Amino acid sequence: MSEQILKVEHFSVSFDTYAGEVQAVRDVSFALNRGEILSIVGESGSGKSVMTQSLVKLLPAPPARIKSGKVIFDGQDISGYRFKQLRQIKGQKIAYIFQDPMTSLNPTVKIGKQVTEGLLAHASVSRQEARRKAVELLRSAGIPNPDKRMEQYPHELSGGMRQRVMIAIAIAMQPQLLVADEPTTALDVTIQSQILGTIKDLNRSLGMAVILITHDMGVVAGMAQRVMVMYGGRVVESGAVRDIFYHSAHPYTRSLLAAVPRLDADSTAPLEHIVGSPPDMLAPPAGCPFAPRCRYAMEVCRSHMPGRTELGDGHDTYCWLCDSRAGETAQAFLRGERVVHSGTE
Amino acid sequence: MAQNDLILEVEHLCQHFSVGGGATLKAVDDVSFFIRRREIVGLVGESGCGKTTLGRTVKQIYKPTSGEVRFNGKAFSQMDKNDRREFSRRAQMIFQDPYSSLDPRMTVAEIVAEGMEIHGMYTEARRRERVIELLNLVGLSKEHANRFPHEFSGGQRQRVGIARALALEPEFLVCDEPISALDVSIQAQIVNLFKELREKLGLTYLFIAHDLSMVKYISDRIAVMYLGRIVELTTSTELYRNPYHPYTEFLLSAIPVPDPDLESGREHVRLAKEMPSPINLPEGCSFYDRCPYACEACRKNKMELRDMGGGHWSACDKARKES
Repeated sequence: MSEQILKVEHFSVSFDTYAGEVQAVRDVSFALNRGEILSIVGESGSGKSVMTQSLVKLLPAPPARIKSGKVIFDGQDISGYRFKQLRQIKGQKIAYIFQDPMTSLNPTVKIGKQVTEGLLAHASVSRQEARRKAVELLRSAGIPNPDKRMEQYPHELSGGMRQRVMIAIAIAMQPQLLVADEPTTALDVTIQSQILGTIKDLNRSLGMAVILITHDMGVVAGMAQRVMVMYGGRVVESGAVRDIFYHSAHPYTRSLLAAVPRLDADSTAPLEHIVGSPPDMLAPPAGCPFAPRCRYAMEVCRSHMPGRTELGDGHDTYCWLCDSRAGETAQAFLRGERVVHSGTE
Repeated sequence: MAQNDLILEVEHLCQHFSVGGGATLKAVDDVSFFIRRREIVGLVGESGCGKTTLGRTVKQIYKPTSGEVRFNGKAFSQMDKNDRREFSRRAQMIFQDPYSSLDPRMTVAEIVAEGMEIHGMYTEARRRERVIELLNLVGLSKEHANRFPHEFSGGQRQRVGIARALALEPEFLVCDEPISALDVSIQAQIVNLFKELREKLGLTYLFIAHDLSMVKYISDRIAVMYLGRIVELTTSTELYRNPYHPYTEFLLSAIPVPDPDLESGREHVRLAKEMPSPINLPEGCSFYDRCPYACEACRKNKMELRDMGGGHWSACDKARKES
């Protein structure tokens, strides 16, 4: 059995629209170990959701189109799988939870039926057995009085409880991989900390690998072992959580971290913000997608996409500044100095 | 403190909604506080705690059930038609959702100018100039004036919403979660803009939010709300350094810190129960059944917000660490 549960190579996804081809995901490669929590961070439109949902072709095609790439899950190349074959994987081996628990649950069906549905479809169990198991699942997802909840409809539950129901459904078949797409963005911080705690407990007890998509760097710090930063449909940096937070080597990652106010920090200095807005994916920039907003951008950044630079221990960055051929600006950046390059800001 | 230093005084404000079956939802219950001129007061709490209702009642969108709000020393109940009109100009609101709060069929110039037209401010030619000035002020440009809201990103739309509010030369802004719908890097842009505008225009804000780290960053003082009541109110540094109320302590412990080393050593308080329904609350402290410090007295007595010394107002001091 290989260490890696998931390996994605040169994965690209586009949407064919009237306006043209929206290149949402461009040449993304990464791997995920068994039992590991990987956090994918990036702004809206950076391609993180499209990428993870396309792994098992959850997006309707057309307009979504997987242009290229390989997806190796549990040692098998599933990128060529058809709908029927994928169904054996979806829900059983790879489970998803989404941001909005209200739209993911059927409002006209009782909680009990929605939890048992997957069990009856995938596992050969009797109705009673499935019911007993469902109560157990709701309990392990942290829902008090699960027996009573089985008979209720989604609207009778709070947002946090609904997300717990989603978790119960997701873990029903003991998946090897859980993709949590902004699972707590719609919830209060207090509920968020409970839901994240539940996901972490399940990750430990079931040995389930987790891809956690979020834009909250605080959540990343508390949950992830590894982090992948996406921008403009590309991976710009990836590495162990400490490397990303303390030794980030990409200007975008640094700006992202600086844009989050710290509770212990001085609040008189203005927050660092990133000037401008994310690129238009109908006509993505030829070079590094972050170059137009980057204060360290050089000529080469605008015309050529940087390749991968390995910094050791699985810490990779895609930035010309880390290239051995880069000049003085790059040296200043790597030393952590603030440089305002002519032509930006 | 001189009376004219206070721009807003709220006294025993209640906003109760009848929800059928003889039940009452006390969305805002006996809330008192004040805001000094040029001050930013943050208002935080979980969803359903009544912070939006409080903001809207203060802005007179809802008529309060009881209690009084004074604006520049003048009570709402004493205001005549002209005063109310003046108030509706001087106090402006910025909404959470930059998508639904802008009319999709109006251009940005029309959106920004509408308030000035209604209030009969300036000549038409001057209004057009003002629109451009305002767009520049919030970081947009002349070219944006004739575009429609759908052509903008969330952050840019929020800037349009801010320009619309500033058009009426307000003194006081109620910002109802103005950054929650935006991306992190854009949030920082907008928060910096709010701070900058306070310096330039001498504005005062009531800043409603549920992101506590951003609120700490922007606010001078912070009020924590729980089930319709303010449970703690103090300067933002003091609140985070030394919370008195167990609910504040719980809320703060739930914020994830963007620092893996700190975060791995941190203990998140997990409460057994969720927030109870705000309809027909029991007697006594409303945090009683979730509070790790609760004692018998808490079940019976409703605690009042009081000054614990040094302007640190709290309804409870069970979580207090230093004396």
